[in-house]
Formats: sequence, C-alpha cells, structure tokens
Amino acid sequence: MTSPPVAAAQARVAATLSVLWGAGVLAAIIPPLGGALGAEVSSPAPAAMSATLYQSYRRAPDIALITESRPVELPAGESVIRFEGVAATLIPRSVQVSGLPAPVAEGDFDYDLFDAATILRKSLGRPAELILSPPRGREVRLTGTLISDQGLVALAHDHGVEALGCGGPPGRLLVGMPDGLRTRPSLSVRARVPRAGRYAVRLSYLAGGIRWGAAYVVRIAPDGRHLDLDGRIRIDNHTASAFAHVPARFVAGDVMRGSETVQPRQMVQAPVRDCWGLARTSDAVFDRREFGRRDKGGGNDAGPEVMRAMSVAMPAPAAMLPRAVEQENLADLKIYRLEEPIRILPMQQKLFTFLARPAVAATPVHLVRMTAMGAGADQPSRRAWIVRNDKASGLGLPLPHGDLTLYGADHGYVGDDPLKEDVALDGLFTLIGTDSRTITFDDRVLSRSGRGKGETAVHRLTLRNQGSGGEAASVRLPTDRHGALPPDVAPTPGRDAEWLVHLKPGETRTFTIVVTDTP
Amino acid sequence: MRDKVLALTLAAALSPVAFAPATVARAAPPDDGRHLAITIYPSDLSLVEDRRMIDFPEGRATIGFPDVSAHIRPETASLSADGVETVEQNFDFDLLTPTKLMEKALGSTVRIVRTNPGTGATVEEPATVLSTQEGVVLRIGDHIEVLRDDGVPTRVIFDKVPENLRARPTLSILTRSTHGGVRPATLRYMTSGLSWSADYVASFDPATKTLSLQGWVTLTNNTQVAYAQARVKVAGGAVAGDSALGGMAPDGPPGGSRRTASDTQTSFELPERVDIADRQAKQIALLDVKGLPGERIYRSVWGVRGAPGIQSGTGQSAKADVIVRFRAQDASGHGWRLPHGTLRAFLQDSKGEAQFVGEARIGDIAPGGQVQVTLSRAFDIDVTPRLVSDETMGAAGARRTFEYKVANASDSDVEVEVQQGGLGPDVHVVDESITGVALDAYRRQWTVPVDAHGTTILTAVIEDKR
Repeated sequence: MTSPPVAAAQARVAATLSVLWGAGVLAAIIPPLGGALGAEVSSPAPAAMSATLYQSYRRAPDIALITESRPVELPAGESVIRFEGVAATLIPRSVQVSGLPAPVAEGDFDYDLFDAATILRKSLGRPAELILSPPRGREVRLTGTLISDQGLVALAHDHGVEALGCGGPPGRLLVGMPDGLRTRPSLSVRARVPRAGRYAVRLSYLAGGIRWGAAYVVRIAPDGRHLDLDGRIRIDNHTASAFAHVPARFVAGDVMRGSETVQPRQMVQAPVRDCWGLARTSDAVFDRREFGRRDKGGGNDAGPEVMRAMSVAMPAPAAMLPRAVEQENLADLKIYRLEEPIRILPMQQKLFTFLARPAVAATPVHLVRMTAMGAGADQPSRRAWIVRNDKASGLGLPLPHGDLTLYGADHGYVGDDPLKEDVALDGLFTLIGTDSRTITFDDRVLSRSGRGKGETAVHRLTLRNQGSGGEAASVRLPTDRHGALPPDVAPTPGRDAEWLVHLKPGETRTFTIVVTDTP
Repeated sequence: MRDKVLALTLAAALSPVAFAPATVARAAPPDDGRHLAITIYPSDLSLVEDRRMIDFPEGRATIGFPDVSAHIRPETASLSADGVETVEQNFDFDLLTPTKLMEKALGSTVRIVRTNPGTGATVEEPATVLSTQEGVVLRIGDHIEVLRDDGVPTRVIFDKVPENLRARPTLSILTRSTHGGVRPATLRYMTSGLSWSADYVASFDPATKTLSLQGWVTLTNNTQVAYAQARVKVAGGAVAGDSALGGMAPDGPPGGSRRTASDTQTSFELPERVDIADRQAKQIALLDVKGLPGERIYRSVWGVRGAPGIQSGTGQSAKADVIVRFRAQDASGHGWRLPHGTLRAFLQDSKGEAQFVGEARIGDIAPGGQVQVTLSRAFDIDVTPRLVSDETMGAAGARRTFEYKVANASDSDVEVEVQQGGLGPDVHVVDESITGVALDAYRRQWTVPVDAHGTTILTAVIEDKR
C-alpha cells in the first residue's frame, strides 16, 4: 500500500511511450510523480491501523472502516498533508481527519492517474519525437508536434503529417511528462497549526470491496438430538489492498448504507484504434458475425453447470482452532474484536473460527409442507432441527446470519440452508436438512368454495411414521392460507403457524383441515 | 468579410499549451478580470460562467474555445460582451483520426515510405489515393496497388492537416463586434461531469444523548479540464430533465422553460473560491456543530407500501428499525441549514474507537428542521406479527385478530413503535391490547414497552367491511 516518495519535480521529465505498431497498444514506463508545490508534508504510511468489517445485507455495497494513526511533523501555519498508502478503494466522501488543533477545512482526493490515454491527451499540442526502428536499416528520428490522440496518434513534423500505428515500421513516441499525474489515487488535506511540531493525526475512511460474513458448520451428534456448532468468520477482500498486521473488528447487524458510498468513477480510457483500412487482396473473406456467434455459444456457458454438479457430497471440513474473539454490544449492533492482528492479502478469502459450541441441544422434527393445490400422495418430509439460542441449550450468544452447512454424525453432507436472520438471545432457529421418508404424508384437496380472497379449501392430511422410533412432524399450511389443526395439536415452538404432531412408530394420523386465503 | 480566428484558452490551469486552430490571429491578454463561476445542479448538470478579457476586432471574428469541458452541451453555450453579437455558433466534432486523414486525402497525393525488409533501405515516392474502402488503393506512378499488399511496413505522409479536423470536439463562435478592443466577455455553458454531494458525519454520545455533526461538500470533477479559483454554487432540488434543455440559454440559469431555477431549487455558495483539478474529489468543510440533542427510536412498520404485510403462512419476523431523530439546531436554538446529502453515523465502542453504525440520505433541511434517519436494524429486537383468528361476519366482512410479538434480547428496557398500515374507510381497528394512535387515515401506531430480556404481545382486532 505504499507508493514511491513524492519528488518535488517541477522540471519536465521525459516519459517514453512505446507505440506497438499494428497491435495499437500503448505502454508507458513512468518515473515517480512530480508536480508537488508549496509546504507539503508527506505521511508515507500509517504507524498503526485497524479495520472494522461489515456484513453484507440486501446486496448493500461491501464496506470496511479503516482507521489509521498517522503522526506527522508539521511546520507552523498552513500545509498540505499528503497521505500515502491509503487503501486502494478509499471512498473520498467518507474521509475524516482528527488530531489537529483546528478542524481540517479542505481535502482533496486526486485520481488523475498515469495511463497512456491521459498522457497522450495532456501531450496534445506539445513537442513529441518519433523514433522509427525498422528491424534492419537506419533508425529514423522525427520531431514535431502531437496533433491528435484520436484513434492512435498523429504527429505533424517537418515533412508533413503522419499517423502512427497504421502499418508503418515499429517505433517509439517520446513526449514530455505532463504535470500533475499520479501513479495511484492520492489523498491530501489542508491543515493549519499554530506552532511547528509532531501531531498525532488520525485518518479514518470507508473503503469498498471488503466484507465479512459468518459461515457455520454444524455436525449432528449420533443421538440426533445434539449438534456441534462451529462459527467461522470469513473475510472476502476483493481489493488490491493488503492489510498487514491489522487488529480487526467485525460488526454484526443490519447497518444501512447507500449505493452512493462508492469511489468516484476512475475512468481509465484505453486508446481507441482507428486506422484506415488495412485489408489486403490476399486476405480471406471473414464473417465476423458468424465468428461471434460461435464464440458465444461455446464452452463458457458450461461453467455454472459444472459448478452445480460439483456441489454435491462434500466431506465435513476439519475443525479449526478457535481464535480469541471478544464480543460486545455496539449500541444496537454486535461487534467482535479480534485482538491478534491479522494479515489480509489482496484478492484473498480468509476463514477462521470465532465460536465453537459442542453438544448443543436440538429438537429434531420432520417438516411437512402443504400446498394450496394439495402436495400429493406419499410425499417425503424434510429433516430439521429446532434450536433455542439460550444457555440451557448450550448456546446463548448472538448468532449473526450467514451460510450454514449441516453434516451428519458420519461427516456426510445433510443440507445447506443459510441462517437468513441474525439470531438474538432466546431466539429460535431451524436447521433444515435433506428429504426424509421416515415420515411421509398425503395432502389432498377434498373440496373448494368461494373465489379469490376468502376462498376456502378442505384438505385431508395423512401423516405416517415409517421409522422405528417416535417422531415429530411440523405441519405448515399452504403459503398465504389461514387455518388450524385440531385444538389438541400444539403449535411448533419457534415455527410460527406450524403445528407439531407426535407419531409413535408405525402410527398413521389423518386430519381434515379447512384453510382460507388470507387478506 | 473580415473573419479572424482567436484562440481563447479557458481554464488555463490545465496546461499552459493551447492546441489552437491553425489560423490564430491574436492571443487573449493575461488573466486580468478573470472570473469563473460554476453552479452545480443535481442530475449531473452544471452551469459554467467564464468571464475573461478578449480583444475583439471590429466586424466579424471567429473565437475558438478549445479548452472547455470535454462534456460540454454545445447547444447551451453562449457568449456575451459589450457591443458583440453572436452570428453563428459551431461545435465541430469531426475528429482527427488516421481514417479521417486518409479519407480526406482521397483523390490527392500523399507520400509513401517503404522499407525493404531485407536491406532496410527506404524508398519514398508520391502516390494518389484512389479508394479508402476496406483496403487503401493507391496509384503509384503508372500502376495501381493496395497499400501494404506485400506486407512491407509502409509509412504514409500527408502534406497537411485537413481543415475542420481536430483532436477534440471544439466550440467556436462567429461574432460581430461594433468596435475593436479588449473588454470583458462571458462564456456560459452547461456541462456534465461535475457533481456535488453533501456528506455529514454524526457522532453520537449515548451518555449525554447528544450528537456532533460535521458537514462537508464534496465536488467531483470528471470534465477533463481544471477550474482555477472558481466561485462555486451548488443547487439542490431537481432540475427539469434533458428534454427541457433544448435551445440556447443566453442569460440566467438555464433549466428549461417549464420551470425556473429559483422556485424549485435551493442553492448556496461555497464561502471561498476553490481550485478543482481534473479527476479530483474535493471536500470543503461546511459546518461543525457539537451538542445537538438527539433521540433514538425503535420502530417496526407492517403492511404499508414498501414494508412487509402480515402473512399467516410463515409468521415472518423483522428486526426493529433503529431511527435517530434530531433537530438542525443546538441547545441555544441556533439553527443550521443542511443541504440534502448522506449522513454517516459513528459511535464509540468500549475501547473508545469510533465505529461506523449506519448511513442514510437526508433531504434539504431548513434551519432548526427535524432530521430523522434509519441507521440500522436492532440485532436484539424482533417483531413477529401473526394472524391469530379470521372470522367471517357474513356480508359484514371479516374480523381478524393479529398478534405482534415484540421480543427484546437486550439488557435494557425498551419501547418499540409498532405501526400497522393498510387501514382505511372500511378497515378499522376495533380492539387493541395497548391504546394506539391513528397516524393518519391508513396507519395506526402502538408504543409497546418491553422489559430487558422480555417479550410483550400486542393484540389488535381489525374489522374489514369490504
């Protein structure tokens, strides 16, 4: 995250642009940036930093709060502090600077970067030198003025006007170094201090492209009534920034953020090539549309299919040693504090365990889902476990929403059903596994009356326990329909509008249920 | 007719070099009397007013403006100066590309330079361009050939830059002046590529129930030119869309004929002139206030547009919204005007580190006006509504009993505002376990107290006579 030191270079430095003839590609080899003026103080890197990561909700942009400690020596009066080595995805609108005697009045985020198109644009009307280097023979040097950067470049020189990159021999274009361009976006603030000295400046900002999420691995115990719960923090860094030795914090809870909290568009324009026709009489006729179609219909579309096929039957991951994570309240949110500093590399996913709870009590049930038209005969139920998030169950701690993978006692894969909501203390949540034929059911509509809202249907529901032990079925009425099972059947705890039916081994029970379409 | 061409370099901070048209008659004098004013509207639209001294010759002259914003809307440009009339305005976008160079050379003579790949020897000879379709067909001496048909690298040298081809789309104005001499002239134009936003940092102190508020204006420049020492005005509200921008806007702020700027917009001027470099986001402090009294509200909204209704099937639950409300005035009653923008809230954690706890957009707030923003959802407060019974009353409609279970897993007692929408002339609350208030004809609100680690059930009976 550090950039080369700022050179106080007002003199023009010659930059070399290699014009790759034919390919129409421009590459620039650039010395460190120049153009610094006035009392500028550089802060090359943070002395210390911390990062707070946020979870993803409703596809809100990924953000992290970066706080940096930046001690700087400032002269008395006004100066510009340039912060080098900030995160590449810094969102300028979120920058805060503190630790100065007076508030900062002005800050700049400059992203006028070195790229071939910008250098050419800024070199228009300026002297340029063209060096042609044929594979054999003499090098030709032509000096003139750059008159266009459209569709490659045009140079006016002593002998006339010439477009570069349109079928001539290979060569290089030399232009003067434009002022004010930078190798990476730069953040600076204007500060005023009464006396010279060392100031403990704190810089904080939001950065995009990095987030955390919870990922749970749950293993069902052989008794089917307990489970081992492993909670992991997964960091996804989709940025080019590395965060080395950073104390990290993770905020759980739905923190609102808007789509405007993003970086300014950093439009890096690739030079567009627009040469005159270079077709030759020996060229074969080539149908580009046909080529495009074939290209599109090719192997790329097979990608997701392969991924889907691979997501079957994976073994349970090995348990990880939990890291020391402190959890506390942050007003209406939860914050996890990892005291051991971590290293997050660019384009990296990092995973570690933040909680591990063995032998959590769970109530096994079989989910039975009725549908408005009747689910049909001999339907499988779905295995599920209802867990109460309290101390008595062996839990009793906030559980941020996240991915959840369920494994059986034999480490085989049982299901993959995310924890969709954050679970507070005493909250109930359900882990849903695979289909089961231990309990099967028939759901038929016997009669129907009325129309639209208020429509009434009479269902006959038959539940069968085909297992060797007592089992419980949790019956859900069709979506958006209202009704009830007989009063002797209790609602399922933690599953609203569901009813819990206990079945002895081999027992079959039949219910007639009237359901109405609700408003 | 006495046409002259002047090159006027606007925004000289960009670069000292003006790539002026070939027939420059005179240069603009130094920057005496320079005045740059920019009004930035929402919807990516800005008005630039650039006043400079220009030496107008008597009679007709063409003034070229090579250095205006790359995203100028040329139809909005206008030039005004004492005794100067605009005869015609041109926006030339025939760009100088290799293809255009060759096309304009059709029928005329160019020179080609061929390099023998074996020996490296070069041969230069004149050629007449016969065709530029697909391949370039040339007549060289007494024979005709396709350029580079032999694959040998071949340079093409043109005698001159054809007229009207330029590196950039260029604005030029043909003027007629009653008298010659230097005088101030103002060029006005609309452009995209400049934008502004207001950003607020609100830091809460739960102990004193106050917050401090810092405001910033962020200007972002993607116009490919720099604006030096500009007086910047930013405007809120909405301007009429693109369709209303037809025609020229000779004087005053443009905005189309359907609305004038003043009756729909609030605007304010930045206190000092600013330099805005190209591709820069500049932040300027707007306000810094401490000790604003504020309050936190928990709210759960059901059955209105944009919020979930109650469905019996799933008994869906939702975390309560965390809303913060404050007035844009301090304890002594002094108020601040807040232009619309984004508010980001921060709170110190137990270690004294400021943490980000939510962001929301705010509209334009008058001094002393109320700001109310939803920052997050409360992790520990779940509201689960459920349809308990649905009895038909025959032709009289239906009578439904709803239950809202409000669970509070936090360590403090709370009050949660539960709102039910979807009421109306034929849909009434006829019974309730906690006395509610009608917010309007369609919504009712109950304030539900819930103990720490407790649960309160609110019951409401709604008759639907439709």
